[in-house]
Amino acid sequence: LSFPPFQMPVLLPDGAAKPQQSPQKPSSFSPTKKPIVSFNVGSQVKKAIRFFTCASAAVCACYTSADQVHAQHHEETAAFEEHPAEIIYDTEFDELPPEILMKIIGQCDFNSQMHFRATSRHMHSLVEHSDLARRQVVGGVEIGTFPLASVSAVELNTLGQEEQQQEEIERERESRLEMQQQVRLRQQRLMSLSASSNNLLVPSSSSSSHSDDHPSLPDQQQKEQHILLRRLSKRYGQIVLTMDRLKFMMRRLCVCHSLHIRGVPMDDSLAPPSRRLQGCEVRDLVVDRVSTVSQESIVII
Amino acid sequence: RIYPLMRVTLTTSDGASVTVSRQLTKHSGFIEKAITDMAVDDNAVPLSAVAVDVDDATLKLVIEWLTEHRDDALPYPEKTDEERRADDIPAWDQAFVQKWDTKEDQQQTLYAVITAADKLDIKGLLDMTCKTLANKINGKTVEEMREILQLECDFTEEELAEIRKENAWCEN
Repeated sequence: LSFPPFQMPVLLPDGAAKPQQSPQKPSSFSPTKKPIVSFNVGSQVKKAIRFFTCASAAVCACYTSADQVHAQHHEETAAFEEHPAEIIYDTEFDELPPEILMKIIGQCDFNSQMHFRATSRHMHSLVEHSDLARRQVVGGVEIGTFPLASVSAVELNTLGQEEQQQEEIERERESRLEMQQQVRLRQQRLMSLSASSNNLLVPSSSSSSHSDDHPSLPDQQQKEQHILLRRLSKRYGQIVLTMDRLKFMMRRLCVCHSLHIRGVPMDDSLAPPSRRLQGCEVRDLVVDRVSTVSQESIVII
Repeated sequence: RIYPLMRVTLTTSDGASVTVSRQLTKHSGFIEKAITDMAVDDNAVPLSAVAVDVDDATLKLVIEWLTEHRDDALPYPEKTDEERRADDIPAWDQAFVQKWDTKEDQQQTLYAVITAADKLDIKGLLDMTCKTLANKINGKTVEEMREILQLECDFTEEELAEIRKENAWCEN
């Protein structure tokens, strides 16, 4: 099939129409394949034009795919850039999860942690009633009862030293008791000598005054009951003390804030701690601000 | 094994969606677990959408941090109490947080990112933001802390007196 060349009429200034010859289509013309350029020129020129056309098309295609790659690379942020949004501020500090709050105050120094505890009731409650908080705030020594079998060899060495010191204390106590008994005997002799007069001395009163200084627990029971000082540190590890030495420890540590035995503040019960501990288990007994206390300084006490 | 070209689509709480590389999401325990739970073919690009309970503006900040820290070693090293320090924040992270300081609601931005890091289980980001907030309140008085953290003092006078007495020794 061959189609006659299409002639488009051109309107002249005088109103007459003049047919215009359209450019000739190539012989391989097909309605489905549009020629990119159709000029009635030589085959060499056509090839050159086609070459440049293809080259330019390829360059265009490359640029297009490069754009797509570029877009893919920036796909992560493109969505945000096209649709800028604002952060939804619906969280307050005290609405953060407790674990996060504890993680935050765990990064602060001890004084700041204590100040943090005093900021609000929520924070106070968080610190006071959370075991995690408790241990973090302490940052020093935790005291509790422990089974002797669970103590490691290193701790037992410390315990051996403690036992030696305990024996020395007991010797001193026995010698004092002997002295007291001798004094009492002398007093009784004196009283018997003055039997006719009224006896103003009550032996039991002097012994009761000593009961404050010495625990009323039997010695054997005291020996079995030990206090474990657990410092949350790799350097010092666990330190074992006997119950009898607890009050000396407390005096040495000086700072007894937040010491509670079953809710009883240790500040009040510090003077005769062993007596107060009688019959009640030492639980979660915590000493604050003991970062300066080392195993060595405790042994020296 | 995580291939850098693997991608996962995250759907935010406010309906936006963003496709990120698995190289970034490997730092998020939440997203990695979600992908594992989906039991899909890892070669699928992108993977099925993972819904995260974070708004898209916060997620943008999270992704910015993840992009910077994409080559960080995993798992994130757990530190003991003794090793934990608040003054070892990397310079880029400090600049990243300082950038928020120009915003009006800087504190809330920090809370939003902390919450997002917690939800997405990104330990490094959570650690850094907590340290940043800790540095803001470290060494401050009680009143200054209340002001920074915008907390109201809801103690009674008696309770305040008791707390002052308890804290007296550490004021010196």
